[in-house]
Amino acid sequence: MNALADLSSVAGCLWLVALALYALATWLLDMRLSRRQRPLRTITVYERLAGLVSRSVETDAAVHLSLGSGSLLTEAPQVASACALGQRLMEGALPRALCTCGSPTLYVAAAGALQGAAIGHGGEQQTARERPSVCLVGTEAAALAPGAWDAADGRQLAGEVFFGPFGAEGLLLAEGSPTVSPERLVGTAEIDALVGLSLGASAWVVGEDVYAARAYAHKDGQQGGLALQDAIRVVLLLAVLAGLGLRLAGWGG
Amino acid sequence: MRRWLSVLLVALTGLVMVADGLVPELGLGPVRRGLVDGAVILSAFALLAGVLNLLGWHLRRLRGGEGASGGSILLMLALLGTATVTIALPESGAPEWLYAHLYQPIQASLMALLAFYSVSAAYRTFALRTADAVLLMISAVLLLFLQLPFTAALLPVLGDIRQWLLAAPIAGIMRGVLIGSALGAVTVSLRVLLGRERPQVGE
Repeated sequence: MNALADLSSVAGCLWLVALALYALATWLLDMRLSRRQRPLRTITVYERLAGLVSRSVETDAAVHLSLGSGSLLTEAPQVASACALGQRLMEGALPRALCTCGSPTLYVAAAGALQGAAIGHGGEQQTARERPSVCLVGTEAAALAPGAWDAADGRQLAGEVFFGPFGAEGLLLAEGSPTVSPERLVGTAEIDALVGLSLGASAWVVGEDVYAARAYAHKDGQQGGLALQDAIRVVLLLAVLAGLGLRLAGWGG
Repeated sequence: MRRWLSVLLVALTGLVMVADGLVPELGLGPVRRGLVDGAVILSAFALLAGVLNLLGWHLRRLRGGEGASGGSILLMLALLGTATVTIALPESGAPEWLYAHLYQPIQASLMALLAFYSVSAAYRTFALRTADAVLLMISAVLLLFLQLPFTAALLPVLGDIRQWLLAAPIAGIMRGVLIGSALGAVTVSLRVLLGRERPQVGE
């Protein structure tokens, strides 16, 4: 029993060391790639985001950003990425951005991050009424969709961005809305939610690319982590292909 | 100063959670439990802040005459009514009754619309005739056909193909996406812990 506990402790220590090495590698690669202006590869959602902001400014139409209904306590990394994307929208589309969410913890995080970004980019001259709206529209998944329909009701939209922890309500939100939007960009780390959300979307992003939002939306030289992720992804892809090959050859049941 | 304090607090909290999660023998358990309790208490305050924001939002809409006012009035009545019942009659069973007999059926009805919405969304996606849409259509039709009960009865090999598709390529791809997502989440978390990314201060 003691030996088992010791083994688990050793494994934990090894994981800690691995995390520290991963952090160090990310930091070093960030430093090395800090002058790189171009992203590592093209991700359509982030490419289209700039066009969405421009269209919003040109047409004086709003951009609706929905952050989903997951809790900050369980989905913190995804929320951080969604907030990074939201900050980019707020900087570009002031004061025409509307942000809705379906969880109180998400609301507090978004209000701090997005309104802070708005104030930092010229919003301090505006009254509270003119600043971009961040609002909690419901406290459960099903309430998110009707709440967001209501919040966007009567607004002319340049586009919609659904980015964050969504469940099945994402499809409800996207398809049931009475407000017509010319473009819909979608991003979620959950592949189950993406199946519904991607239907009818102009562009979508899933998995680890969702977490790359900051590097693509702000282009502030934080591409080391992406390079590292891409390298590990190639290794994983090879592993998946090898596993598939072994399974086809009759290994592993 | 405020920014650095915030980064330091986040880094320390994250380090305690990670260290205790991976090496419980370090004895950081009580600190971790205290931090989790604190997060739960903060969530309760977040709910209060969120509800006040929701009320303020609808009051502003009513005052400004924006959008349909019926929904705003209904929402405020439901919110205040449920809160009153829950606070005044906590042991009467009325709050549970409201949830089970009003909220849950409404939620179920809304979710039942998903089947129709997915068909309409799929139709519009296929109408776009993009490469993604074609791939989506082929895989959707193929899997739908293979999942039907009579296909395996018609031709037993189709059942085996379905099993193989689900167990080998689909499971492999799903796991690849899941592992990739986990890597992305770890990278973002490390950035936040190192102060390279500061979503909490609205940079």
